[in-house]
Amino acid sequence: MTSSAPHLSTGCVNLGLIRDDSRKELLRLLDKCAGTKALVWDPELTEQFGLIAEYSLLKEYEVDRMFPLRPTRLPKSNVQHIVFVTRPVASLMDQIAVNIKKEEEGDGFGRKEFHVFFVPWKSFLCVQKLEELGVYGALTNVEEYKLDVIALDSDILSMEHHSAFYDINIDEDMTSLYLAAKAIMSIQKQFGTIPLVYGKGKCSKNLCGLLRKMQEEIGEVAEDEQSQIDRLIIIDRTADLITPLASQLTYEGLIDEIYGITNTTASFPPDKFSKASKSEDLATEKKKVVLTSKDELFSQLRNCNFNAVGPNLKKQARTISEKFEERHAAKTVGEMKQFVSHLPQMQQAKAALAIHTNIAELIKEYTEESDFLETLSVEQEFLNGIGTDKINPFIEDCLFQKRPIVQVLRLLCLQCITNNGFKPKVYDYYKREILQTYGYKHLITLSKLEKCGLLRPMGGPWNYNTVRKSLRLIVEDINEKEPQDIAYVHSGYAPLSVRLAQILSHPGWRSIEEVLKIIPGPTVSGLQQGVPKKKWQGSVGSDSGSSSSTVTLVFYVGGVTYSELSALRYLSAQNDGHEYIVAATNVVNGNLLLRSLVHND
Amino acid sequence: MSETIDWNPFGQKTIRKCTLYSPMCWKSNIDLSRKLSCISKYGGLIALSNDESQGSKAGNRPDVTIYNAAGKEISTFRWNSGALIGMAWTHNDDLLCLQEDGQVLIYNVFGQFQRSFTMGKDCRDNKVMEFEVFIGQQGTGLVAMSGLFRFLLVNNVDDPKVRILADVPGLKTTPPSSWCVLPGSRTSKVLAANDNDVYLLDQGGHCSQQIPTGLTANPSSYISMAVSVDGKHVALYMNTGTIWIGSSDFQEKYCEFNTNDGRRPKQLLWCCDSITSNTRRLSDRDIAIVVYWPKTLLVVGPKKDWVRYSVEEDLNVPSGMASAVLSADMDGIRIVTVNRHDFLQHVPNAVEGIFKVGSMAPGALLNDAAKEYNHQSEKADEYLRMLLDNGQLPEAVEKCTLAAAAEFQPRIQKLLLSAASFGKSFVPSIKLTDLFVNTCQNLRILNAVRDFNIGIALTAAQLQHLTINCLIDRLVSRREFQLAFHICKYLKIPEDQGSSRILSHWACYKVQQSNVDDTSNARAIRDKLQSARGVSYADIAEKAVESGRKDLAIKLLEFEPRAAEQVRLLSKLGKHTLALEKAVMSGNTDLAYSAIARLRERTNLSEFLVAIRQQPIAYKLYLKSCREQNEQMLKDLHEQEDNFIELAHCHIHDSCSTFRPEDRVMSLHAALDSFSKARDDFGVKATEEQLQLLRDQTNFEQQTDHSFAELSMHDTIHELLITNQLKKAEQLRKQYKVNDKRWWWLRIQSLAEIGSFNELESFSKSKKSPIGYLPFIEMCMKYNAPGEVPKYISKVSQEKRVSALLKVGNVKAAADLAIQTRNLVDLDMTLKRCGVEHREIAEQVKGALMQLQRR
Repeated sequence: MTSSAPHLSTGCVNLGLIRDDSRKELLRLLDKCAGTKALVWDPELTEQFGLIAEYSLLKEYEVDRMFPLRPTRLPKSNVQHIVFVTRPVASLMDQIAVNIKKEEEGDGFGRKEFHVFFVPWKSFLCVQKLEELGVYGALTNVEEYKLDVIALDSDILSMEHHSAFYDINIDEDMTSLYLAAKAIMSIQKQFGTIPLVYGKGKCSKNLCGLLRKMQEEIGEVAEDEQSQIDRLIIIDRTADLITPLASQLTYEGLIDEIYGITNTTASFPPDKFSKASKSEDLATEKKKVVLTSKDELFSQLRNCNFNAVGPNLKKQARTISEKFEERHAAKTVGEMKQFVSHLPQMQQAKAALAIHTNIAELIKEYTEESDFLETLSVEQEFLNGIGTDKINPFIEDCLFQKRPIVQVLRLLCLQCITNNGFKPKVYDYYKREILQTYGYKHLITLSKLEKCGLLRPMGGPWNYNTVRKSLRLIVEDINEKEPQDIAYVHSGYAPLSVRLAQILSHPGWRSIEEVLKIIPGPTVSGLQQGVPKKKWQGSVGSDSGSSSSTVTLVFYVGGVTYSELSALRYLSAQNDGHEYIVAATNVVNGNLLLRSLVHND
Repeated sequence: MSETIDWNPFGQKTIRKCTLYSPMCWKSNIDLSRKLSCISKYGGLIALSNDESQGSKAGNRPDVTIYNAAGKEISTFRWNSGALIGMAWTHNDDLLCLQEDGQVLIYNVFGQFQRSFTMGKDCRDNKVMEFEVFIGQQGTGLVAMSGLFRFLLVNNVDDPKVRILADVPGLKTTPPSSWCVLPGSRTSKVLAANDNDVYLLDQGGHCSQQIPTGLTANPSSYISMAVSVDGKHVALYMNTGTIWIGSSDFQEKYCEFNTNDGRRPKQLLWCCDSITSNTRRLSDRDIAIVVYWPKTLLVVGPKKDWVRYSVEEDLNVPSGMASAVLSADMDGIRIVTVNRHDFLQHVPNAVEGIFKVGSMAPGALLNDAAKEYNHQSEKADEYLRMLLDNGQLPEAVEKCTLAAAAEFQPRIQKLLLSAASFGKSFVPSIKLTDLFVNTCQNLRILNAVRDFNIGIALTAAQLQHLTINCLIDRLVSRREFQLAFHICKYLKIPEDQGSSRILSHWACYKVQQSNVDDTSNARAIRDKLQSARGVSYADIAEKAVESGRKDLAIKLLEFEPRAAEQVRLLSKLGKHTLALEKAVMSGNTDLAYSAIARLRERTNLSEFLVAIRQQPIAYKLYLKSCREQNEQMLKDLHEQEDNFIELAHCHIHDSCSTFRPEDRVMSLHAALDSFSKARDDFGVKATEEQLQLLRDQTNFEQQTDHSFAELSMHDTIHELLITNQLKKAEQLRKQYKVNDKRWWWLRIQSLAEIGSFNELESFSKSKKSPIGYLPFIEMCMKYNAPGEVPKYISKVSQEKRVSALLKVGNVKAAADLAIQTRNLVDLDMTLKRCGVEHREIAEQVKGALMQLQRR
């Protein structure tokens, strides 16, 4: 089985292996239904599966048709098997039941066999529901497709479990944590038991506990096995709620904030691209662009602060046109031949350049709007943390103009966190105005925000200014084009979570013990769970003499932002003996996070 | 030479009768002749019972005693079912006992009843006359002959399906003169003789007569017959004392041998090596038929070679009765008498080559060389050179090693191994080294299990055929845990298949001992198993449950790391609360949900609620599922827990999801009540206001045609304003103390929205705006009235004027102003908006910026 995603294998740890495993497992399951089949998809899963197996591969395994899961009769097809691929969500079970019943009523083309593949786990409640609905008996296979983690790129694994933050913090349902532990176990199965575990935040300790339990369940691993990953840092999103609230200013981060990236793909308004794409009639459809390191230009741009994207694109344009100019310099046939051989590559580069220039223009328009600029400057004010405990006039303006609630809440929460909570008067004022603007039902929204620590009255050990100063979260004079610090990703604010990872690598968490105490949630420091790399057994702390660098896996429970990813990539690129890969329940940004908490019926 | 003391020449071959154990551990007054007896293959377990078939009445209860191969008692039990007519060992060392009525009962070596089945109605009605147990491809099989002389066959006693074979032609009142089972590779058949006709009865109901090829004798009856263990050879004993020996398909005659003894032999059986001789030519085959009469043992080979042994006289046995029990094993015959357990076999080739008198085989030479070397004689060199020159040394080493494996006495084993080791130092060969090491390992194990305490008398060939794993299983089933454990450790078998597995079995046995109390039993097991990997405590607990020790099982389950197993068993034990606790601890939500569901099914509601409230995590999960499926239950739970805020939220949720105003009001009152119980002042106030707002909205709806449903305060005022109901809006403003700034925003926006720009202007003049005048400009731009903008520009405060100008698109004016005021932020903002169209302005702004920065 050849992997069609070579870009996954380019990192310090070959994440392509994870994908290969998932592919094998999928094909093994498909083999259980020998014969022609139709897959009926939970719409949430279709794109995810695109990252695992392309349609042509599915076709090889006799997948003839694909339908989205709907509560209506399936389109007619003469396949032998109907396979429902679904998340374990109760409401989807109803739809499956409807499908099966309708199918069994109709004459169709002879008998069909039905199967359900649960992704990523088979839930008792769903099976029970299928039984209640009276279709469980009609199912030939009810399988579990353990799609624990998906490699989004060469350095990022995602569980694509978008409700994790909500489930953990609002419902206090720890399923996500269990799944996260399973995901880490599969990573360890692939790359070895990670010898040292660190963690910060509410769930970090529980997750460690689960890991230990699972380790016990499978028994110990072979002792001579050495892990390719040296350290695991678990970061609970609630330990750093600031970062997702701050606007992301990297190229990739901005694309996500404005257009949203799901499963490595973003959709853009088509008009910008219509000139570039030759078929005019497609112009009404959204332009879909795959954003991974497969795209060489994108991998150069993604981590840049947006202010550095323009110059970068210009440089790229120059290089390409220079290359095209070379044809004039080519005199001999040999030289011509060489030029022609480079041509497809150059044309590809040119096309990529066109795409990213268009995207950059779209983003530029957005970032130059006063709304964006004003929001940004208010954010900076809050982050700088000086004298912002009063009612903020910009937030007021937004409220009174009834701007989107998410926009308002994002600023409000940031203000709250950077001021260590609101004074009672300010707090009540804001709450009242929110209810007046958006309606009484948002009493529930407010209570949810409080529950997960995004809004709260004053008090408690948290002190933003102390944290800001000791972790150097605010860096003045950021050079956005040639950054000297991770703070470039937010033009001056260094993501707290990444700072923690950076300090762990050097000089170690012992230096910030006091600060760790005021960051919410328990701290896990240096839990031994496997056999450390040989070099550690010698003189601890001396990295000299070993050429390979220390690989750290940063696991975000509750979501990671693209800005954090970029910051970690920046650290990896420093060549100081520390490399990072990231795994997370999902990729998130402030809007997504808040949208999930906003009450709506 | 002592190595050959028990050898007898046997044509071209040699046969030997080795003593495995002598004397036996049992009492010397034991009477083998009066007993039902059987000996197992691969190890020689012996079962004895008082023979009740002769003389004594049914209802008399004999004892059945099981001994190991050395005659050491393993167990004894009282037979208390029907009339026992015989016993036999199955291939996995279970004792099979057949009753007269066709009932088959199976016991383990400890005399514990395992299971039973019946041979069918024919046997029940007509009684079983005779039976034979055989080992075929499908396991242990059984053939019984009923009183009607009909044969009933079971291929596999583990899966007993009785087949009735065809009747033997011509049998009416007399039983067949002899019969035996012919085990086949796929189906087993029965050979039966009616006087001098031999018939083959197969499972398809066919019966075919067999004519022994080249029979010269003229018997009137075949009085005994035997088939070899591998089913390849057959011997027919005639009333004339002649034996026809040939292949089991009757196509080939090996020889006819006249014993001159027309008595029916006590036993007729084959001694043959069915493990290794498969491919050899007939003349080379190690086969012989053994005829046993009291006192005499006659061994006859296929070439009419013969040896006669006398079987020792047993004073306990009346003369004329058999004092020995014989049993065919895979590569020889076991002969058990009161004083000894012997093994009759063809001397293995390797051994023969070394110890045969005057042998010049390579093995013999090497053995001599080693001997001379030990005597410090130069002859050692001579022999060695001979071997080296002929290139026979590797063969010699191999032969010595194999011979060592085939010997029973450690002294001879050592002798041969040291010879092999001596030779091996001159031939570097990994193959030989491996063979040598394996042989040493196997011999250590063989010698250990042959110890009379264990009494498993295996030959090396049998061990190889049985496999080590199987031997370990047998040790386990004989509760020789310690030896099994040490063998696993010695052979470095992976823990989960080896030592851990043994420990689990030990623990399973341990939990069945009822004399130890639960706590110390659990602790003892834990102590032993703590360091072992991959032990399933759930399996052990399951065993404990089987032996009715629930409490012990629960204690053991504490140690089970696999939560799913733990929870499954605890639920099975009815410990639903504990199961829930464990499920919750595992973090596996799904497991928790299933535990919750089971708990809910098995208990009444109030008990359920008490139990689940003690598990906060499970409680949360239950709340979540209620939120999705059972909202009333959710409210009840909140109510009981005094969780009024959550309860209030439920009511708010209700109020949002209904369209009927009355219901909405009712829900809100409920929410209000909850908030006040929770002492949440903010909630109370907000709910009161919402109730008031609902009332107001209803009023407005009655007065106008507009719908105000679902609108917030802000939206309500906005709706009133754009429908020109300023008064009502003002009323709301006062009533709810609407923020001044909000009011202004709303007014400006609404006026611009409905295009009342004149009114907007007069509104701007009505009072000083609390939100400045930029909003006026923004709204004019938003609602397409750029012409209105200039009216407000001058009103905009100094610091916001540049951005106002930029908003209108007047870059030039903005730049001028910014340059004039030398405001860094404004300049920056202006520069950004310059773009390509305003290159000149941009240059100016840049200049100003540079100037400023230079300062």
